[in-house]
Amino acid sequence: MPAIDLTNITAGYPGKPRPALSGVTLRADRETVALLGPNGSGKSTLMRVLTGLHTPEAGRVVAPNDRADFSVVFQSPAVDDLLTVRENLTLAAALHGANKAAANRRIEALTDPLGLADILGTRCATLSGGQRRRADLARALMPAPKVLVLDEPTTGLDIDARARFWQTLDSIRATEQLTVLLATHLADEAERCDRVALLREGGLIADASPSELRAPLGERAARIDLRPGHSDQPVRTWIDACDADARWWSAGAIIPNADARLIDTCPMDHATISLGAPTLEDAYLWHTAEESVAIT
Amino acid sequence: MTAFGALLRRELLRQARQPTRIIASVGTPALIWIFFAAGFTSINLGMDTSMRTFLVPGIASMTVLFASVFGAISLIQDRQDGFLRAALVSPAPRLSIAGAKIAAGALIATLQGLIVLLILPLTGAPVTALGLLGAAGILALISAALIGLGLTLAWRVDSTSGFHGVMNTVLMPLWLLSGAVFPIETAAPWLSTLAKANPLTWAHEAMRHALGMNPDANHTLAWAITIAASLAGAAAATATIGRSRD
Repeated sequence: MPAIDLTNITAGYPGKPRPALSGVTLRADRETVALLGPNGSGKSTLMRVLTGLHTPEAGRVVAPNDRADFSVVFQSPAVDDLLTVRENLTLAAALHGANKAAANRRIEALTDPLGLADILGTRCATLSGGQRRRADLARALMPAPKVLVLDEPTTGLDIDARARFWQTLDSIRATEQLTVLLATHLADEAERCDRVALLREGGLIADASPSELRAPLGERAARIDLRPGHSDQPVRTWIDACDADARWWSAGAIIPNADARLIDTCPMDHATISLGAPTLEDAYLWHTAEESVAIT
Repeated sequence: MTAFGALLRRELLRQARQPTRIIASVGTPALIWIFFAAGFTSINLGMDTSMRTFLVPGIASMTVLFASVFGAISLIQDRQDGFLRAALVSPAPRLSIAGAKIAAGALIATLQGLIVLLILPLTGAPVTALGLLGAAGILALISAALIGLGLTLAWRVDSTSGFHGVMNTVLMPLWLLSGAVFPIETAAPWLSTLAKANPLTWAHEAMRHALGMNPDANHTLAWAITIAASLAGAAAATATIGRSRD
């Protein structure tokens, strides 16, 4: 049985006309799955359903029976600023039923991979953003969970701290059998995952590996970004003339299998164009595009 | 250590590491007693007890009221900081989350209330160890009732500033209408009737009886109502915390 097994989940909130989730099915086992989608797409609700904080109106949730097998890293660190890192970790272990000796053994095991040695005795209020994140990840890993849920875990971190966070998580994943579910709106973080589930307006619109999501764009894609304050009509006319199978997103377009000569004809006064191997961000814009302007 | 024990330890550590909060919880009521006692010094309400002595149990319960406000605010902060969600998704019983907050708050509030009661000898009132023990019991019961009520109200409030509105419209009137600062026997009949419906009034009756200030009080009824109020407050908080707010 998969560690995470969500079938046909529909969930909403009172007073909201549209359900936050509509018929979402998702499974994961000993892999890292990213939930990628715009704000309001249902990522957080899916996390809440999975962790038991929100009861769905319909569907089946199969998650680890024992809540000790679950841990969550939230958007903001859930460590207590008035306690030291060690006190926070001991508390997390106690909440999962571990005694002090077991907690100390686990802290020892996590100290090196998470780089905690220098901060164990430090109150969390005085830690840097990156250190607090590592302390929070250690808190979540204290019960040695089978499923780790990460809800936009690098929000507010600088580039260096983000890179360190992912290095740390990768080293943990190398040694522990973890199923990781990551909610993010950052394509480069989703790129690190085995699979990416794309959500839009509460529905699951794609569930595939990053390379499979990029496949429809071919070997080279053109990304068109409209210049602010300029009409999109000249760009639409140009794409019509190019006979390109483009899809529009809110501020531009993506053209798959793009010809390098597009650069020569793009109306640069109205848009910029970048051409290259498609990124997951291009694929995300392609799959979540609301308007398809396939032109023949 | 059990989840309850670990959460209780956390609450006590948090209290110990915020000394200004402890000082404010005792210092502010003590100042209010000084001002009230000095202000009411020439007022004779026909009691055997002086006004400055009469005020002390009410001021002690005010420290408990402040503790309940701080406890409620800490719940809101826990939610804002994400700590509460982490606790709620853990296998720890939800009962232990509310239980630890009530137990830690009641312990601290009772100690603070006892410190305030040490004013009594300064007013010339005789104080016995047994009297203080009885008053401590009442303070612990009031703490459970008020902290439970505070946590229950705070569960639906999103910000600490929003909770100040709850405090001003619910908790402060509850305290003022309890015989804390004036004897309800000499109040207007409608006010006296209203005050008798307030469990905190009976807690004050029981505390003053324990301290030998009101020997004619129906202390059995007063204790029973206070115990019932504390159980109701604690039950409301434990039933509310962990319930979905969606």
